[in-house]
Amino acid sequence: MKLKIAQKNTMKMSLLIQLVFPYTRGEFLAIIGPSGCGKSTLLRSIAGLETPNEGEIVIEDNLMFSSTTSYNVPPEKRDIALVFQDYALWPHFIVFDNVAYPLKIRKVPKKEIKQKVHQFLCLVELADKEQRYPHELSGGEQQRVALARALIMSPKVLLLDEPLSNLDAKLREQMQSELVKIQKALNLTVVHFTHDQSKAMELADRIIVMNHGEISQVGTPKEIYKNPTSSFVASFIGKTNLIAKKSKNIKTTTLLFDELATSMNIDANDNTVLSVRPEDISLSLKYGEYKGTIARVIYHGNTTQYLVKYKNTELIVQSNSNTNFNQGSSVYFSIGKIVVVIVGR
Amino acid sequence: MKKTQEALTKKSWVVIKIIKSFLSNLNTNKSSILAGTITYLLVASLVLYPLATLIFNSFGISVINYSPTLQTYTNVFADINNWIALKNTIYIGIVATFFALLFGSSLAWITTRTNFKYKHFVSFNVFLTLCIPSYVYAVAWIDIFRRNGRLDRTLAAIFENFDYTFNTYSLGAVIFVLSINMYPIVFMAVSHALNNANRSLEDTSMLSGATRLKTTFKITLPLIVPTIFSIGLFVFSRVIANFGVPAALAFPSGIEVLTTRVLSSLNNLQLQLATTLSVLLLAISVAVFYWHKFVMKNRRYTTISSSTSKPQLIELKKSKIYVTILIVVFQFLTSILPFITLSLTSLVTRSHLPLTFENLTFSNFTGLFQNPIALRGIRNSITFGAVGATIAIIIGLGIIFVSYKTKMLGRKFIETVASLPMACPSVVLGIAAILAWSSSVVNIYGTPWIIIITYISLFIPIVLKNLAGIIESQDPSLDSAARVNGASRLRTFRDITFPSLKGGIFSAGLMAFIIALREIPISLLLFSYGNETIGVLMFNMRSDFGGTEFVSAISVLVITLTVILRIILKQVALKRKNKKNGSLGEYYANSN
Repeated sequence: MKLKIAQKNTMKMSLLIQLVFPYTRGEFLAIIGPSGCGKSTLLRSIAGLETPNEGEIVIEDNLMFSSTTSYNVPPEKRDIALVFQDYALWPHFIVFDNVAYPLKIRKVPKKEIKQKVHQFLCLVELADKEQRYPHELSGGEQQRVALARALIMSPKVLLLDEPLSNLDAKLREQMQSELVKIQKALNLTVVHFTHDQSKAMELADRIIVMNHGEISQVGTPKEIYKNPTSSFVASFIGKTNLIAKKSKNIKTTTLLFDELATSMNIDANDNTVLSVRPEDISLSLKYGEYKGTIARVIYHGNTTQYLVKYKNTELIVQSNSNTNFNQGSSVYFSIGKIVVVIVGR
Repeated sequence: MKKTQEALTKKSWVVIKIIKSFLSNLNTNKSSILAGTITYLLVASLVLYPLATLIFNSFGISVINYSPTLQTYTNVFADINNWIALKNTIYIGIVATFFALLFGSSLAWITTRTNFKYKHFVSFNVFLTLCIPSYVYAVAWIDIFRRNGRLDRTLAAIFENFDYTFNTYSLGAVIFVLSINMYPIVFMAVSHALNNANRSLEDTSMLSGATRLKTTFKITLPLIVPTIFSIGLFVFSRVIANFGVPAALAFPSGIEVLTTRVLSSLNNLQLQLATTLSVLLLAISVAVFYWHKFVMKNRRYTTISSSTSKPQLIELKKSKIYVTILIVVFQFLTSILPFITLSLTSLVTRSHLPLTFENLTFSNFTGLFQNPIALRGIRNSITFGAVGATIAIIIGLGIIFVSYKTKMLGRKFIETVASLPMACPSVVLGIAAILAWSSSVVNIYGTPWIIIITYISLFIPIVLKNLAGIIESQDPSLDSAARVNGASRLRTFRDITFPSLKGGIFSAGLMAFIIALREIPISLLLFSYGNETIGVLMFNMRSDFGGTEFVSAISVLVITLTVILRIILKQVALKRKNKKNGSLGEYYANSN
């Protein structure tokens, strides 16, 4: 159970996708990274819609692609389902025909098709919309039809190409929980490609963070959030304060960095970066390890963010909305957890 | 020795690699390869082969005879008459294009940017003009302006001892008729550009303090100049390709252009001369046509419409009445009057007789369906058009599949080759067909197939242009979705792509059919007894039995059929919604 792809040259850039990751059946994986990191190339390569220049793709012990033997299984023979970002429902088919299409291709008997389509439309709660055309459905309904169409072929792997990004917040949450429910019920392997880290955190069992066509880190959401191994991952997954020995806008060394490094007793060089999550800093009027001033107050409703200036560093601090510090006032703060990241790793 | 062997193995290795990539790119789907290969073969034999035969023949190279020479060309340039024909061709090309641009763009500007009232009248007349074939215009011109024609008779009735000296047959007449025939295309293109030009650019200019007139000249006009230039090149290429009008209006007084000269040299049994002239004509047309395409592609602005807000229309104030009169009179004379005069002539027993109750007859129309030749012509045009359009659609679908849905080697080349007849004058296609299909190798001359095959090559570009627009605007993920759901390339094309192409296919079929109704040079060059078409009837009836009434009756029939087909076409386009207005295919289909 591995998937390995190397190097896909596109017109714009040369991607170096070096990834070998094992997955277990029924796992919900998320592949995240900023736009242009090679996600879609990877996704399309796995589905067989694009041909990588080099490498091989193996899904559940079945070779799908190999550049050395120029072996390539066409997408229709890969048994991989894909839910597209824009759903890609065929406008000239009614909902029933859209969902039934994969079975029709596989020459399943009509009676069975009817029964199965009904079953899967019930699963996504759209049994009553069978005769509608896609354009007569709402965005959420279209998305569920696309999901039903993907699931009906009982695929080895279900790929999701940011299908939730076109929905409004409320609908998205509803769809997310439904998706997880179905995934667990069918014991389906899902690979969710997205640039939205918060969604990935909520859904995935494991996250693969990509950047510049390479894997930056693989781990559970908690591992990745708590122990990022690179400054990219630290800043891409959630908000963080990255404290480097030398930052771009400060000529001299960051004073806070030196203080933290000595207190933590670490061997700091120029490549060392410290990551401090905003919620790991606590503010107090009376006591604390460091003393700074509140530079800005950003009220968020459930939380309040403060921009705290300490010597030649500014830190983002998140605290609950009950705290009430005024702009310009001095404040004490303590740092609860520091993650040491080494750039280039 | 070893080296050469090594080189040889290297070479064969390269060949193997090419073949392998050719096949593997199709994802080793046998039916896709088969469909692609058949398409390649059909395009090569129906389009590439005749044109290549024509060009090679002009250099003295043919299947049965290999004697390369340039003598043919030196002969052509040695004859002063060929130079005159070339000069006349370019002359009518430039002047008719100028007038078509003038009429078309002024009308477009007036209807899109001023408060001119009778916009529906204008679009109605443009529509009617598009429905009248250029040759029919020439017939109407003769009907009105010839000695003892409608004008002569009218003037003679008013003035006693009136001496009619107007020269009916001249280059001026050709230019007039062709510029009338072509202005609707300019009108469509420029209106489209004006409607799509970003309004805010003009609004900003006026907010900056420029008057409306100044804005027109400083902002609007520069924005649409590339459109005017490219459509001008297109009109030029169509004008010099026209055969029927100069044959009817210039040839009788001994004035020749390249197209008529091709035919007359053929009639003098000088096939070599006809061939060489055809290649020259082809070279000019292709050069102009691809220049036009280049300009079209490199237009930097115009289609940047973002706002849908209606612009402030320019008040015509005092000049409004004059503008209105000018347009109404112009359009009445150029579209309604020719139709009326043809209808009147078709309804009298002899054309010079006054329209009185005794002279009124339907015999010209009933005669069309009693005269075996006329009946055959109508039937042939309909069958040839229908069969040609059907086959062209099938081949066109094959090309679209190969070119857009596979990665087969040479797919864009095949598409370019198949679009080539768009740039070819019909006369040239006819000569190429004679050379290609009546040799000792293949001889289908004398059968309907030689006409049908040439029609197919003429229609394929229309199909391509109609379908390419739809394919390009289609969401590619619809295809990908079918692929990952288990459908092969070919199955995807059938189930997903084809249904969305239906409207375009229907439109292309109708357009092809309209062309078959009006087309003259191809069938004139290729017909034989029993395979006459409407075009042949119209062209020969005049000379054979001087039957102006008969020709008028056919003309009225053709116009009526065209109007009906065009109305259907419009309805289809409206229903399709994503109608690609201002597309090249549309102009091409309208200018044939």
